[in-house]
Amino acid sequence: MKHRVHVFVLSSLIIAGAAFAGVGSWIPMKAALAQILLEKAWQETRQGKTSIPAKPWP
Amino acid sequence: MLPALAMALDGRWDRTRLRQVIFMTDGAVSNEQEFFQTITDRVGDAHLFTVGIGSAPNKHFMRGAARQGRETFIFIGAPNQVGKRMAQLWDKLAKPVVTHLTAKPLGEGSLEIWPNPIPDLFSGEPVVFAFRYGKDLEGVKVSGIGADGSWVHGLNIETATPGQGIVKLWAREKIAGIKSSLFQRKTPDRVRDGVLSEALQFCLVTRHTSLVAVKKKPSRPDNIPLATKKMPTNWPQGWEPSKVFNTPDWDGNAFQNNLLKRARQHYKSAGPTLLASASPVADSAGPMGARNQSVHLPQTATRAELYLLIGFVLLCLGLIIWWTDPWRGEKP
Repeated sequence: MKHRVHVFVLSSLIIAGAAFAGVGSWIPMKAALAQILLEKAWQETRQGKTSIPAKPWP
Repeated sequence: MLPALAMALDGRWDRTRLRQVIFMTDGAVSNEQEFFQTITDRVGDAHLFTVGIGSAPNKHFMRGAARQGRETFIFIGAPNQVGKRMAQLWDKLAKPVVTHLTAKPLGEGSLEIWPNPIPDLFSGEPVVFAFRYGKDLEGVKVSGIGADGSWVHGLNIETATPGQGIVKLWAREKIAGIKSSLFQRKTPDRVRDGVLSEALQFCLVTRHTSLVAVKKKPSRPDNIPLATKKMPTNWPQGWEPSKVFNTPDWDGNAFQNNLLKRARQHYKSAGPTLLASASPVADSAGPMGARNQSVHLPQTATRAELYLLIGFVLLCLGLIIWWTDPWRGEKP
């Protein structure tokens, strides 16, 4: 009986912690990934790998 | 059309008759240079009227040809204009009063007359020509052929009324004459040089010259420095000052007036220097309602840090329980 409580408390603690960490890191992770993708796309454009010509900032 | 025009204009001068040629077309004239050349070579003393019908005729050519032929271009663009415009033409055709006008100097002195040749005198229309003369000129004898034979009129320089702008009129006519000499086998460069020298001497606007205005007195004297001041700006759309400053009885006009008053005072006391920021946020000693008051703006950032902290604490707690295992020894 106590073992079940033990497993339940432990798993709910870990699940809740992972959920909070995931929600909290979701936006910053996306922001970090966006920077990497932007840099990659820009380098590809500069090397002429894309068919669409680079437009100047409006 | 060129052979017909060449046949009508044979280049003769006839003192006893007045030759009037009407060139009427509703078609396009494409080889205009050739036409101009023919007209210039063969016009003689003929009077060439040009009538263009519809939208097709080359108006540049028609107007130029009529000028070469001492006459005017009549343009009929729509059927309801026919009566009026043709009546004008008949009037001109029917009523020449004096033709073959020439002007000769009386006494010693040179005379340069423009337009050259002088256009004919028609009933109801004045003949205007301008001339430049040497200082020994006594008068001008104008002669022509009228209905009753020869017509002579003397003009005395002594009795002439001085007038402004006559020199411009003369120069303008001379430039027009130089331009039309383009068709008398003169090269465009020589025409340009001629036009340029006259236009520059008499300050006229032509296709080679233009007027440039230079303001001599500057609007701002050099010894007065530039002033910089901040202007009150508009609120972003959808913002309400009463909510931003948390004061329900917000008076926008008073706020603006106060801001302007403070700006003026500051400007007077500090001189023309950069004003301190007059924006409501940064101005700690700000205008009424904004004094020492923070602005409540909506907070839009995520609570990522808080969530991360909670998640970290929970995970740590779980791991500690996992390792320490307080229910050890109670395995089923």
